[in-house]
Amino acid sequence: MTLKIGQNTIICDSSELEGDITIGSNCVLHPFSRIIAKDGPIVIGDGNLLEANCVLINEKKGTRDSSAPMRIGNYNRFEIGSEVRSLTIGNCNVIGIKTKLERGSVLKDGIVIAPTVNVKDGVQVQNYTVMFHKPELIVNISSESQKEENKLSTTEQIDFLKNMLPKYNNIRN
Amino acid sequence: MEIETKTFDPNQYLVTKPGNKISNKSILRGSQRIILSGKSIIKENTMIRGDLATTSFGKFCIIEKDCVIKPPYRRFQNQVVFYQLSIGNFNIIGENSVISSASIGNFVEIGKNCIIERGCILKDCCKILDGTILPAETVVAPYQIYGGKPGKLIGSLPESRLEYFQDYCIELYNSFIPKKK
Amino acid sequence: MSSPKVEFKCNCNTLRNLSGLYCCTQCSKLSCNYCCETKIDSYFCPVSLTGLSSDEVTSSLCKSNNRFQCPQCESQLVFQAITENSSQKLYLSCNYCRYRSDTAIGLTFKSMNEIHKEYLAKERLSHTGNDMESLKEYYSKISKEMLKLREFNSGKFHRLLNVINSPYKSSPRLRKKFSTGRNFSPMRSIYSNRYSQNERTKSGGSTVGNNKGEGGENKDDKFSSSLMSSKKTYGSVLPNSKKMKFNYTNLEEAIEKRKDKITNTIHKTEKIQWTDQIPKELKNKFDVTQITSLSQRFSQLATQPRKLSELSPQRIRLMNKKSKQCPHCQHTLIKPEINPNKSTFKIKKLALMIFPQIFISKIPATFQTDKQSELVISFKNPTFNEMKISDLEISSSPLSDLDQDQEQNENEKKEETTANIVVKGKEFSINGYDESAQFTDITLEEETTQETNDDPEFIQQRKLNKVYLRISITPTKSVEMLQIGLKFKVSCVLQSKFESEASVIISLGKVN
Repeated sequence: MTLKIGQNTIICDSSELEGDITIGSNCVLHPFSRIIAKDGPIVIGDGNLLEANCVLINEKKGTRDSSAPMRIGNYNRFEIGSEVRSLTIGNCNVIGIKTKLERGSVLKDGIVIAPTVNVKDGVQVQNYTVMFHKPELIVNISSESQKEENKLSTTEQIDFLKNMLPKYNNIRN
Repeated sequence: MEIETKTFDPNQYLVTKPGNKISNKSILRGSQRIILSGKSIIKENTMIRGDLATTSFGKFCIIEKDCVIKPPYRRFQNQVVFYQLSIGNFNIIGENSVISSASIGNFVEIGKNCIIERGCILKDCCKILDGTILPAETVVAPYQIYGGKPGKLIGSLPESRLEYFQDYCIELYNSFIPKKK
Repeated sequence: MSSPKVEFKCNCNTLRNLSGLYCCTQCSKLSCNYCCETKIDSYFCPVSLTGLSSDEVTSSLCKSNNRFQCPQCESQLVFQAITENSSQKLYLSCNYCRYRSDTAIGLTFKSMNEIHKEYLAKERLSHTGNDMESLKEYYSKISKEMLKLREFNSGKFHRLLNVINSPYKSSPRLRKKFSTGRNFSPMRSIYSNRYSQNERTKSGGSTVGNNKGEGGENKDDKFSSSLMSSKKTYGSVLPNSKKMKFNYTNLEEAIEKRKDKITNTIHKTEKIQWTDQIPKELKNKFDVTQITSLSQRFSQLATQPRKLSELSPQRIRLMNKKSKQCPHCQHTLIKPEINPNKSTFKIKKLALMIFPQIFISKIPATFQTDKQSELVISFKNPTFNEMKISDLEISSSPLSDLDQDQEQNENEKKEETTANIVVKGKEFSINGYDESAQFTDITLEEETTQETNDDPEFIQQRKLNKVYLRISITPTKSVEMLQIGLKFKVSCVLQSKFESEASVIISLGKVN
């Protein structure tokens, strides 16, 4: 049970942290976000934003599954109610409302996943892809500028929330 | 069919003087900036984020279980600003839906498992079907039905929607009574 | 399983929910969405919510001026700005599928006006291009041939064709003979405004019409202009398709040609043996992810592109507000406000505001034959004054009332009634709707039950503006759906005294 938190990260009081977790600097965890490291540590990079009701879980799928650390890169945004079980996530991604990333899926850089998309086991999502329902699942590959756009939008939000959240919420020290 | 009366445990709910029935298990953050004008119902596990910006509700708003209501944000000149979310009178918001629209008019029905992303504008007397996703900054005109993934125009409602829905909301509110000992 | 429901009978014999009915206060008759006359009142853009005048509508080809639709996912597009070489440029982007007009097809522009002009020019070309003119020539030829045919043939069949092809020109006698039922054509209002005016003069409603005075002509122009505009929206396909249908110059030849075509196409197709994997040849031929879907092609009718890369943002179609007229006395039932933001109406005559709403408040779980069961229905008064209901009749064979044909009626009368129904009373009154009741406490309400001298076997209880009736039902036959019909007279005070009849059908459920 070790908890390492970087500089300038804001973690609201009602968020839940369990197990070996290391969080980088400049992160924001909204109230009622959860990080649960059951069967292995979770390492989160810099500038990540976890919104309300979102869950990051490192949990074995079956008895045969081997335990491994979960690594999340920099500048990712996990929106309301998203459930993340995949072990490797790159940089500058936007994971939409109520999406599910199953264990065994791999995300690279600059990805946008639209609301309620379920990324299944064994799927490797390439750079700069967009996944959305229409109502069937469609995977598009967009341009390189998407990565910077995602990064900008998350960092801008974090800058605002750093000032706003401590006014009305209790912050964990 | 007539609406069945539903009872609630008086210990679990807080009934305020203007007639709001608020569950103890609901999560109201930044309660200084949440404005309820009365006769509203807020059920279990719904989260209202007043800490980001002010959220105001009109009369006879019925918010079901597991909803998240979060004020929208806007980006301009390399800055993000959260701004006010205003919800009008006589609205029903279904179970398990996420709402971060800019404004919701009067007599609006939102179904179950809906996702209404930031900056949407829902005008009076419109209806959102179950399980729709409205992309950010969409506008729904009065008396229209939207549904699907992503939300598209599906049909229109009859002119009697206003009267019908007002009665329905009042009756839903009145049929939610505390259990007698 | 169909749930129990209450339906009112419209004057055109269709069954409707009360919320879908209009009630004219002049002639106290019900009309529904299908039998009332509709007319397009005003146009507006559904996204920017701005109204457009009729001139603007025709000049902008019935599409929004500055709002666009995503070609990929058909959601609304948003304007966004970028600075390139110290000059600001706009582009369109989708918030859902992240479509960007600048990276996808290189569409950037300086102002909203610029893109509007560009799109208008493009679409006008496609409207008045070569294809359209060749089509026009083709159809003008056909119409000339048809005219010749008409001159030569005097048979009954061709006379009928004449009637259908030109409803305005033919004699009123023939029209009466061959006209389809007026109450059952929802699209009728699109192309028959003038037609209805003629009928009005026949019934002696107005003085203008056949006399070609100044006033009459003016009115005619108004109707024809509204007719033109409505045709442009969605009616334009109708007349052409009709011409196609009645092109029977060489009927037998045409059928044979058609047969050959069909058989040829059948022989040409080959069966592909389906395996688990898609064959490599097919995979190389088509990249399924790059081909457009049907709805995407329909949104771009002029070009109908096959590849995703050829799609471009489309202007959003305009919406309209409609006014409605009573089919019996031509008084306006619905007149919308011109401002598209508003949800109110200038004139609004709904059945929901006059007739009592009927709910089923208590229903037995199962109906069994020869077993008495109790049903409780409630009447709700929407008006502010007291409402009286008299001559209440409840019968178990509601279908026989519906059909007007006498032969059918006799047949159904032979069938036995499905249930015995007992109601102990024929008249009752309902209290008016009290708005202050909204603000009273619920706990107080229950204590003050109203003291009345009602028969407890007829009226179960009264609550504010509601009355609960007891009905005892003993089914005599096992049927799929047990239906009962109510008939009653309503009298209440609106602005003046109002009286009307209503017939209601309540479907209850299966009888074991």
